[in-house]
Amino acid sequence: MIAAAPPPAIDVRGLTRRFGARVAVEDVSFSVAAGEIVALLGPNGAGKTTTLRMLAGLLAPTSGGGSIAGVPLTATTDAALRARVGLLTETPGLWDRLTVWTNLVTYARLYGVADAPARVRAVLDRLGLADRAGDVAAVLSKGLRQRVALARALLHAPPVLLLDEPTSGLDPAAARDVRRLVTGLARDGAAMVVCTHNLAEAEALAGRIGILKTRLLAFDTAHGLGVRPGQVSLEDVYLAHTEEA
Amino acid sequence: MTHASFARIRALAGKEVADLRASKGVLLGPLAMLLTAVLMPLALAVGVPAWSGEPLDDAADLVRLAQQFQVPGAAGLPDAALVQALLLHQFLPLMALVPVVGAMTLVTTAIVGEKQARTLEPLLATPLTTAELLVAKTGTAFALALCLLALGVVLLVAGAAVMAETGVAATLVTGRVLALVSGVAPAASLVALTLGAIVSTRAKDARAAQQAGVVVVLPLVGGFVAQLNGQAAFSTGDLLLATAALLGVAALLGRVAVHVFDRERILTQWT
Repeated sequence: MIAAAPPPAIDVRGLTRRFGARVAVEDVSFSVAAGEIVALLGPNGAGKTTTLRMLAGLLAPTSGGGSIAGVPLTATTDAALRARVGLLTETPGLWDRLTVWTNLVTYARLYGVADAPARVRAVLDRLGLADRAGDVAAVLSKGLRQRVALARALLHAPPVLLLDEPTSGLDPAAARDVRRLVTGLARDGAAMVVCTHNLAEAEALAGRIGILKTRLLAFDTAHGLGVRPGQVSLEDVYLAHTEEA
Repeated sequence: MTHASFARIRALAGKEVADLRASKGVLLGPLAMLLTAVLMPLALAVGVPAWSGEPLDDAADLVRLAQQFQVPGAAGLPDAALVQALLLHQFLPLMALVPVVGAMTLVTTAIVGEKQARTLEPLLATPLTTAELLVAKTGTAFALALCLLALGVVLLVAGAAVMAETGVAATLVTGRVLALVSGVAPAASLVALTLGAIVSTRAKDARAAQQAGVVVVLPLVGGFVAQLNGQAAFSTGDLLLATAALLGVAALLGRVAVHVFDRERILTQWT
């Protein structure tokens, strides 16, 4: 007997979001399996952040829906969804006057983590931040701030991670560290959606790539999108789709 | 309120206190107000007569005024003590400004600070509800404002007990004073809090938001001036009525605050 495939960690159908007359995201459908990384590419204002915010339970879809980590995504989705998702926002958004430790313990408690200090210690160890726990967030480098923000998204061990521009503005070494962390988390079974402008990063990290410009113009593996090493680059494919739309 | 909800409010309130401890300068304005409310009446009632060498009971006009005013709990006091009690009571409305200034300063700093630092999105990505966010922020500011008020009242009564004539301090713990410090002042503080929260949604910096506090401060200062001029003398009943009216306004503003703190509006317009 063949075992049934596990349901996708993210499965959305016809996701649409309007702000008044403006359509930010229209009829977006895709799924992400546990342990899979999906990259969402698109020009500025294409609806990437709006899509992530809907998946994170921050914005209600105007229409469409689905399920995220087993929680239905509807117009009235509430705290239950946010408790199952880790969101890395575009800016780290750390409380600068407080230490890394206070930042993370506060968030662990907001997420309802049972033993907040123990969990924070474990996450700090995993991300190589244990020796920076006592530092005030304001003194951290951009790369370290991003790592602390990633630590914050992992505190409640979410099965779904949504990362908005995780390596934006980081130097190559810091960006590489973040990419290593992301692939490590996928190996541990987290389903991930990564929004990025970095095409090389998308190709290196993601199993499948979505090209978004209000609508999802394409969604497949790099090969499925038509990328052929040495002949057709992801940039060629991306520009062909976005300039055509 | 569920246990989980309470735990989230407590976590965010703890962060607010930690943030305040890391930026003590925020408390300078409220502390200056507190010192004014304590030191000014004591200086006028005790310091000035002592420095000038002119006892208060030599000022016939003041003695007559003190007898007319009928300071609660001051019947039978000698003239000098009666005048001191009058002066301390005339300046008591200043004490009501302490939690108003404190609440307005703390809540606007807490909300506008999150806007400026762009820390709201990760906060809203947690299971924290908007109502819990508001309760944590305004509740912490309210508690600290009440602590400042309590400190001010204790310092004033202690100062009067140590420096003023015998019996004067006892007039500061009568029903009228209690109605002011445990009724009007906290209720005015609640109005300032809810107003501060609403204004913070529009303001780009905390100081601009604090300007709105004048709406609460002006009526209190008006009452203070009217009392100094002898145009008004507020009874315990007047103060209880004012407390009820202020609580009504605070409840109304609270509903507006919950409306303007719409989660999606915060995300799409603030961040």
